[in-house]
Amino acid sequence: MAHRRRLGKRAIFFTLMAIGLVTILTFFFVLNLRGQAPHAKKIVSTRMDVANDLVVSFSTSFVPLAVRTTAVDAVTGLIDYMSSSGKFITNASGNLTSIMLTGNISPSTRIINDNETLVYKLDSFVNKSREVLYILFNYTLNDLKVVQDNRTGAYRIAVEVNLSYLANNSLAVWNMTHTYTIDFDIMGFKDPLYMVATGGRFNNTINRTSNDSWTFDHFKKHMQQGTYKREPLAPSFLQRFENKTIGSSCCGIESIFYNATLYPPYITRNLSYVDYCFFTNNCTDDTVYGAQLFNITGISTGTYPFRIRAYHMAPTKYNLTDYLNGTV
Amino acid sequence: MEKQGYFFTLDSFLAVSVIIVGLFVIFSYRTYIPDPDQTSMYAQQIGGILGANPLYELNNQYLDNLRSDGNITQSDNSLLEQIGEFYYRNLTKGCLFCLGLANQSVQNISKGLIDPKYGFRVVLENNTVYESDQNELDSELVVSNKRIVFGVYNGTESWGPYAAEVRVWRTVGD
Repeated sequence: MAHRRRLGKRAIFFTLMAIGLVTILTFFFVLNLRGQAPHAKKIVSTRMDVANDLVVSFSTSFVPLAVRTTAVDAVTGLIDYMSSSGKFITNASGNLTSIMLTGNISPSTRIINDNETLVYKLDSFVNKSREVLYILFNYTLNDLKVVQDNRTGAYRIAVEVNLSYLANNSLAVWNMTHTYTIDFDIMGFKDPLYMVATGGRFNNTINRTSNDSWTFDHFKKHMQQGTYKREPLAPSFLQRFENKTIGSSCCGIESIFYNATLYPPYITRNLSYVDYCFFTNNCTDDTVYGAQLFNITGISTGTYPFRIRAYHMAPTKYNLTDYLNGTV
Repeated sequence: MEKQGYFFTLDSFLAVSVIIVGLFVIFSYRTYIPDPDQTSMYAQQIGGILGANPLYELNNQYLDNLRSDGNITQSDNSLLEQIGEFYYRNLTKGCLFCLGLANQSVQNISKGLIDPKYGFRVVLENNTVYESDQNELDSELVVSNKRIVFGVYNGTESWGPYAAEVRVWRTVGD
């Protein structure tokens, strides 16, 4: 009986030892499982970071870059088209919007290549994000406008884009709608007014004058270099695509038509040499200051019979009243 | 009866020994696997250096030379973006030396920066732009860091988006 009791105690000891060993093994197993959990968390965290970086990169870098480069291509392409067709267009803003989206201004008139359109560039990003990062990206272009107004001033063009986009990495969804206003300089573009009105004989590149106040020398340099100054009665850069002579109070610009060896038929043209007056024969300053033309000493010659109206000679304009050399 | 007691005691020692040896074998086996966290961290660091840091922050003579000879015009590009631009110039402008510039740029930046225990490869649009001497096939763990790169060339031409990948691995036995 006593022997049985001793054996029973040993059995309890072995049982406890077995339970202890199982506990230790279970402990190691649980530790191992816990060790895996942070790794899984890290994967989730990395995937979220990658998707978030992609969305931020799309919104803050890719869209502005794609809009800007497409708009510059559209403006350049439209000027080239007008140069080859020799015709003005009727709606510069609408045509530029159409070119940015489709590459065309009409189904048969291609201005830029398919792979230069905004839609192609956005589609490329969507496809790449799916193929490379397994992030599903969708977008909707709600609105796109090309404008020049008080916000842009005379020397910039703005593209306003309203874009909705949705990114899904199967862990989270980014659903955003954003309005972008992306503006760019008109400096360096050829002036479509010169190009079409002269039948491609004379080109002038938009370049802003550095003058704020005017002396005779300033004017001469401005004329010879073909630079542009702000003028509320002159057409804006976008209006120059349309041959409009209604002044643009926010964005009108003008240059002086100058060429040392003038195209002979132009020599007899009895018009002001302010560009839009010369090419359209429609100066909007006529009503106030009259249409009388004046020659200027030191500028008007036989081969370059420069003429200008009173409005543009005034001290607040080119300040040329001291250099009058008779009327025409 | 006493013999049975010894038998149980020896049996328990044997069992404990088997378990200890088993655990030792299991944990010893685990130590042969390269630490994925470390390799992943390294991949992120290299990806960050190449993909996020602007060139002007990478104080490097080779890049300065490329800047002064006009091959690098935008110092706020990351190196991956610059490689993307070189790739674009090679594709569309017939720049035959541009891929060489991309390769040399990565080599110069990584010199002294990457632990020789790690190998890495830079891939752009499925083309290897640079691969370190360590063979990727000799590794047991490769961590990939992918990005989409894009940019503008000459101020007006947009390029990309291109798939850029930095693959990092730890060589076996180190």
